[in-house]
Amino acid sequence: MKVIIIGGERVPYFLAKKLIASGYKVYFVNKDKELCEEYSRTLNATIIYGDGQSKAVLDHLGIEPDDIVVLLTERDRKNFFIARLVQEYYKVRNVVTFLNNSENEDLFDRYGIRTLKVTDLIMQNIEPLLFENEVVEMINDEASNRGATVLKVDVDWDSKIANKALHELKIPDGIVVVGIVREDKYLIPRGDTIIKPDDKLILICSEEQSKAAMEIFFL
Amino acid sequence: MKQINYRLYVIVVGCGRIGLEVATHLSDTGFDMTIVEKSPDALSALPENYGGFTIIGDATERDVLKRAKAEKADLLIATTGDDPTNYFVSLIGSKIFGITNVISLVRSKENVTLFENSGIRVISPINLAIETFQRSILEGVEPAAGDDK
Repeated sequence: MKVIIIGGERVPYFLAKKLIASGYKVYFVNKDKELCEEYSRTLNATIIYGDGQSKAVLDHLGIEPDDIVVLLTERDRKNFFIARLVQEYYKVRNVVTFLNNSENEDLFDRYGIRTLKVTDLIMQNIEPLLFENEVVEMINDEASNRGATVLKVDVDWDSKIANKALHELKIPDGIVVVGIVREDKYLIPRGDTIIKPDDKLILICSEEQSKAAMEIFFL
Repeated sequence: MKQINYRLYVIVVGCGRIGLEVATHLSDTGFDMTIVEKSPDALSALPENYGGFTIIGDATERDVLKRAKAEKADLLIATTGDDPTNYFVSLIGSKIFGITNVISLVRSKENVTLFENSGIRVISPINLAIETFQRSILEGVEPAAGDDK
């Protein structure tokens, strides 16, 4: 069994290195001549300079049904085309591909092509950040110039409030913790909620209490 | 030009030399037509008497085919210059939008089988040229003596 990586730039390099270290035979197909030259010096893999969308090029690889084909070209349509070529002509069972536009997943699914939804993955990662931003902006819009301010607190490992329950902080009137951003969750805090390192606290306080808030959360 | 009296709805993807001619011809014949093309410049090459709709956009994106009312199409014709694009559009048309008749231009001869195996009717300019040449050459050849076919 061999692993055939078609297209891509840096991902194939690190992928190939790992696979080779685990004892797999790796083939790398790319249209970029310089990249092929570089990898032929640095990787212990079979490097093929050519267009993976061409059956004539694929024919050189001696692809067999139990090989794994990984598709990393920049367009969904190209990856789909190559996936179908290797399924149709060499009966490859396992094809994995990058998927840029997640709405195309249904078509890939229909042909049993595994997809890595890159855009979705990135979106999932930044969504909590976007949400946090939106919350802060929303409260800020309402609060600013009306006697209240919004503060954001990044909790470090050595922060004095880390690993404490909110009620232990003895937060005075005029200061409210309205949210804790933890990984991809937005927590609605209660008195017994434990603050953890890497949390982000969003708090709202009256202008008179902002100094007190700084002392509790930052110093 | 002969008019046909039943209404078929046809989507042509790509307004290159072939797409343009096909779309114009079909609209003359009386089909309901939409032509989908990425480049506004290419669409400006359509003749003034073209009676169909035009949509500017990438037909590999779902919302573009939705705007073209792909779910109502009787026929999809893919005519871009790129085989993977034609293949992708053809299969989104047939598998996702359920268009029963899909015809695609296939530029590279070696790709014809893949298209055909996927249920797409193929127009291969190179194969057409070869067949036409063969036919016109064979027509000019006198049957050899004793060959009664």
